[in-house]
Amino acid sequence: MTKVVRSDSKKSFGLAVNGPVFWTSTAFLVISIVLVLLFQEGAEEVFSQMQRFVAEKVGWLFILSVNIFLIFCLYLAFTDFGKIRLGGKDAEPEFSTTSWFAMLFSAGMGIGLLFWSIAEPVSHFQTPPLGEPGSVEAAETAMNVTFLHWGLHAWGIYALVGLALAYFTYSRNLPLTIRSVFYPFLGERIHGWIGDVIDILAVLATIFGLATSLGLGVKQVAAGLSHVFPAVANDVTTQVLLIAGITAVATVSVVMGIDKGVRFLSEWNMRIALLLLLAVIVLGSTVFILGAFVQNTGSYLGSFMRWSYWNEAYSNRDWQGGWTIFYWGWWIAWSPFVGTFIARVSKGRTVREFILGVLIVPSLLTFLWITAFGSTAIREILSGNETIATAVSEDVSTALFIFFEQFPFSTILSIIGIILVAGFFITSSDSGSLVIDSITSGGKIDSPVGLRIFWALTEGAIAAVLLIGGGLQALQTASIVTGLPFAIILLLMCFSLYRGLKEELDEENKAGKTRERKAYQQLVTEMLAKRAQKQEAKAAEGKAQDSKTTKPNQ
Amino acid sequence: MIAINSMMVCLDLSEVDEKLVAFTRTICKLLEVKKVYFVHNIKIYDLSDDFRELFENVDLEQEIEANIEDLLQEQFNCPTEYEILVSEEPNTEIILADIVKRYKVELTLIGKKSSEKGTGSLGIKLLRILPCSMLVFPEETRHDIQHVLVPIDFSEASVHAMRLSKSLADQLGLQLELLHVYRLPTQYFPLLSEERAVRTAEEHVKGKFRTLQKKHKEIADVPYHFVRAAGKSIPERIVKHLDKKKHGLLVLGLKGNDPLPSLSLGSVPTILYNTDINVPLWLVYSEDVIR
Repeated sequence: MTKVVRSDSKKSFGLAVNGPVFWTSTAFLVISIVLVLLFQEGAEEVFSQMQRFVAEKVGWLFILSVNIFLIFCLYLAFTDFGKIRLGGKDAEPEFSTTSWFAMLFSAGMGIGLLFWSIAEPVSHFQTPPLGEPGSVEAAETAMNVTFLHWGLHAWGIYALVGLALAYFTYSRNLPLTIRSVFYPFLGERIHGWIGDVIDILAVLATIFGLATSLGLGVKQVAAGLSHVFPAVANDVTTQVLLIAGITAVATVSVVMGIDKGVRFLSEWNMRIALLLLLAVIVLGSTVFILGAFVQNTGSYLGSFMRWSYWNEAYSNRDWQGGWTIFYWGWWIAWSPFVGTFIARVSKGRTVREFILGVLIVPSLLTFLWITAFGSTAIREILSGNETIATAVSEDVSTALFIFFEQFPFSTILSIIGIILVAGFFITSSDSGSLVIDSITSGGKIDSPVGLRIFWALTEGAIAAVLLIGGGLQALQTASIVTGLPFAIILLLMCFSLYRGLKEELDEENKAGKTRERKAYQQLVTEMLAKRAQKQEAKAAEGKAQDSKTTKPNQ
Repeated sequence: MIAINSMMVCLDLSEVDEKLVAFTRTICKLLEVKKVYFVHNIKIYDLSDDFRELFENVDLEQEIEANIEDLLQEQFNCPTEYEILVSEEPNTEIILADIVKRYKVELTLIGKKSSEKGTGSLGIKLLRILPCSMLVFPEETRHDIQHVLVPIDFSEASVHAMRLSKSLADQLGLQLELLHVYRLPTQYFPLLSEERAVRTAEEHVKGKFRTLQKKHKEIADVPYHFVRAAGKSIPERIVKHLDKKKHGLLVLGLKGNDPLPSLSLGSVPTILYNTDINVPLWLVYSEDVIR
């Protein structure tokens, strides 16, 4: 019989890595990049066609899946499963709740939110999925749909993957990689080739997602910088320099580890983000923002079922493919990365605390952010100021800075905005590198430092190469297409996680009940034995007394 | 002055029963208890078929009642009136709640095994449904009740528990101490440095204590402490303080300020119930809160 070697115990050429995953992923990366560089336009067309096919033919599956993920998470949170603690009964949280929220928010959404919180509501307002463009009704719809894309469903995907990984890693002592989640199905085979394939897919989706985000993101940062400081040229040199800077800081952060690097940066990101949010609320139309927040949240909750399951079934348009299906594919493609990271920082939380914490707090913060930026922008347009609308149509990356121009102290706000964008990039980059380190090292919670440096630099290098050579859009589309196989993997994950948690709960309940039953029966038996002894003793005593009293008469 | 008209003692036939009866005797002697109900519910479904067959001719209810009577003769040497109630119901918590309502029980005494020996599920259910105060008596208990700790969150229920504890302390000559575990409010983040946020939070807590002392003059001289949760849960901090100061009784209001008890902590009383602490835990039920 061959001995099973755990993926996190494997070595390759003396390196503490899982060879098949590390080398295959690296080879795939190199081949993919070379092919994309060589056949740039062709690749973009092929991937776009694939994405269109996915949106048209299996959009319904994405919509159904994300709803299943959310319902499943809520089911776990509000049933007895909610009491299970990740890492066992005595496990304690490694990070304070504030740090935990800061890290999961920074890794999960931060950067996209900065750009899309204005551009997306404005875009939906101008081209709503239903109703008259530019109307008050369109404004409400725009906010509902933006909340849908950034709210509970998105965090539900992350919660599911994060919970599954955290449970199998900390409670079942399996490696911190996607393969571990399938232990109830595959057993020890997760350490073999099937597990390797799952992990390779996760590495590729994560690194392509991260590198393309970094590449496309620096384009936006450079555009913003150039807008605020006209002396800075918006060209490839600036963009590559930005990538170098972000990669350098991310590498230092990754080397320092989660506690000293990632946590520290995430907390500062949150501080700056909250400061910016507060500034927009205070300097802007405070009462309007607060009122709109209440209305938007209520409207989102009120129309929750309608929009969650809306499938454009009776319309000839293809609005949903470019938005909702794109988002679901994007979040799902990112879920191995964000899920692994959330799992890494969530040891010691109960299932209930984990799910509600991941779902509710970031969603509420996101809603407030989107309201402060998006609703204010829509209000400006409704009142006749078209500046922001034009910026969104022409160049999304400058929308944030043109938005700030409507406020007092706009230069300061813009500078804070640029720092925040860079900060979120760094935290996405360093947490992403840590995740890839963990997967390619076979699931080690603390991966080797050399590997951390390798992936952080590789990520920056891929972004820079694609930026110079072209093909960023093609790879981003490709990584969204990977959302489809992952949606199916995630559906299996629901079942696998349910089986794992149920096994634990059943065992716990059964053991407790059996123990109690045995103990009770034992107590009753002992009590009856004691009573019998007493009665015997009494009878013997009575007999002795009887014999005493009868003797004198004899 | 604390007077208890009706008290229920839950017996489970284990060794704890002896300690519970002895503790009940102490309570009856120190406080004015008018009547005690010693209760046991036979968990008939926990007995195997073989067992039931073997003891088919034994009147279990009668045997258990006689056994409790023997125990009381040995351990409950007290003039307080008592009654033994033995039932045979599938759900123990339901029958106990029924007894509390029927006999207007004001205090229920229940034994508590360590988490290794029992699941504690009955106690948790009782915490949820019994409309009366509960006194939880751990298997391994410090008998010396000289110092009483009352954690408060300034809610109506915790203030009620504090006032009851004060009466108890005055009546029995005990040392009382109040404890408040605070968290740094999220509104301080990120505008204040941690150090300043702690100072501000502590000033705020001190202010709350001052207001409390003004409102309830009787506690003006009761020493109070406040500690920061700082990464630990509130029950964990309470237990830490309890161990440090060697208190002999912990008193808590049964409904505190936690608006979402099931989100992260469960409620503080529930978690403390589930924790292996070796001091009696008095969970004070306040009718005002329920109303």
